Amino acid sequence: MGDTLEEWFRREILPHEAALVRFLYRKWVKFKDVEDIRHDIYVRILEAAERERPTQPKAFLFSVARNLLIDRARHDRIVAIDLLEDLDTLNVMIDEVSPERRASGREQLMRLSALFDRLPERRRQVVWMRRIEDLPQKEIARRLQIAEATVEKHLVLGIRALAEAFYGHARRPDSGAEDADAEQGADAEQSHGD
Amino acid sequence: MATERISREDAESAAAAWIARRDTPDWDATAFEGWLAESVSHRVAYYRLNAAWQEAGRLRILRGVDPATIEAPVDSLVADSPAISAPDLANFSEGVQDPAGRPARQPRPFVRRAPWVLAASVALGLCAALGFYRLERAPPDRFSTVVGGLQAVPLADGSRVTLNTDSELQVSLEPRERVVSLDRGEAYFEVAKDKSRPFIVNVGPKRMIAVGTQFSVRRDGDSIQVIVTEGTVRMEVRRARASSASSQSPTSAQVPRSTQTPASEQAATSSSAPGSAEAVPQGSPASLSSPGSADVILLPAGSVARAEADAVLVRNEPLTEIEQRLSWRSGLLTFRDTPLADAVAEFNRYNERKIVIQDPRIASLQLGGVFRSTNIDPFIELLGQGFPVRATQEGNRILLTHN
Repeated sequence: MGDTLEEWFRREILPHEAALVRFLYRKWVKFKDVEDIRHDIYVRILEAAERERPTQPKAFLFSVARNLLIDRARHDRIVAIDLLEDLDTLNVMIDEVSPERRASGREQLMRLSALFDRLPERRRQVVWMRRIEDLPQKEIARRLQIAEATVEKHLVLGIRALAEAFYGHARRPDSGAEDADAEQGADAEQSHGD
Repeated sequence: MATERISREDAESAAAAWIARRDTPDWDATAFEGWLAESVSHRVAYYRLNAAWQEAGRLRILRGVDPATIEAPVDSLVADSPAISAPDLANFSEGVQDPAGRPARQPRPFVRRAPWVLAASVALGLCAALGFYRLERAPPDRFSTVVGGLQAVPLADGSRVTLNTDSELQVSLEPRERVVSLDRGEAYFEVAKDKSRPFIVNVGPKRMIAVGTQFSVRRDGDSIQVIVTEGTVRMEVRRARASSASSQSPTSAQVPRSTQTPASEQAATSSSAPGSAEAVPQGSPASLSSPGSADVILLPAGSVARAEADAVLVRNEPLTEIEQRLSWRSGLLTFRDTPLADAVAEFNRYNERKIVIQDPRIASLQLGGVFRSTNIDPFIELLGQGFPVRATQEGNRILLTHN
């Protein structure tokens, strides 16, 4: 147990996020709630792990997910007919997908590169320079002739979009007008020097 | 639950901001530690985003020269070409070396929507190197691919057609319209905008009409699947009888309402409907139109439409899933919770060596992953490792049995 809680969380919990979120989408279905539920599940996991790390993290993750779904189902008075029985077979189900796990390294890389290309132009440049070329924010601002605050804004949005892609969410990172506006807004705050 | 939502949103924005600020002179380690200690929610958000951000560094291998890593997608795209040597890869990986260094990005119409973009652009560079540019010449009328083939065909109007395995189509560019008929197989269309010349794809009695948009059409006998990735496609079902309703004049009332709703909203709306015990899963059938009720269906981006002889089924999917369905354009098959029977059917489209499932017990096993469509063996091998399945070679067939 020499590793930090962050390392443990990254190694034992996060790799199951794609399966977890897919499951939530299938079962819980309220699209807009899935990320919040995922976050709540993680909070419960971490709270528990700070006291004592579970010996079987994956099983623990899905049992927390199960309990949280049941709580919410009760709370919202939604009768999800197949919720309970499916949850019981869940662990079996995720143990069966080993080819998927083997392919996941390359799959993740491809998802990342696909996401990367869909980022708005300026955001992609900023993320690339920061993450791949390790340039400091100041240097990025100088090269692109934009304000440092703008660089940071693009980074913040880019980091979140990369996470969604990395964990394999069925979500469009460049979804429509909202994103385009954000990009425009970020750029509009300073004048281009050229 | 509103408070929780706000707190996740806040925690993630703040975590991303901390990560972004990490290298700057005004980085305040004490403040960061304080923020982190403040709540579990903060820690969750930070751990998660930080892990992804660090992993994103792996994209470096697409930038530098690492033939071993990009070999798979490249190889699959130019499946019909001779073996590719490492020096070639080294040269052409320069093409994707530094997107950031190209502030005015070159238009890359084909690559732009392709799923595995960086890798795919390497492959396109290779195609050029290997003399594949002969495709850029004025194309003849009829194009076809063999089993396992993949061919991009630029048309004289600036549009581009990508033919999948075992496909055949005919193109005629008229002054008033551009007409393609898909006789067999599957094709992806990137249509150059030209309002005065609609781009029409005929498949049997159905036609897909586009002005400037991107979509794929797949034909299996009488069954047609249309996937729209950009813009809107108008699907017209011409019927032998009842021709009084002109197929030229679509009325918006006939358009299934749900096809105009983004998948996310649709799923949210349907599941939150009062008294709905059974929520509609995302990606589930959104509308079922029999020919009696609709001659014309508008398919917005994100639509997956399946037309049988006498019915059209439309559903909406997130763009990421749509891209996966179209990963064949990079020579890849993407499975996600796919029954083995379906995965096998897909592989069999691309290969002369056929996989045969001999035991119904294994047909419904679910699997996921990304595979090269023309390379059966790694798939079979993984199958044997991950599932109770045994493979036996028999001539040009691979027999799968329960182990």
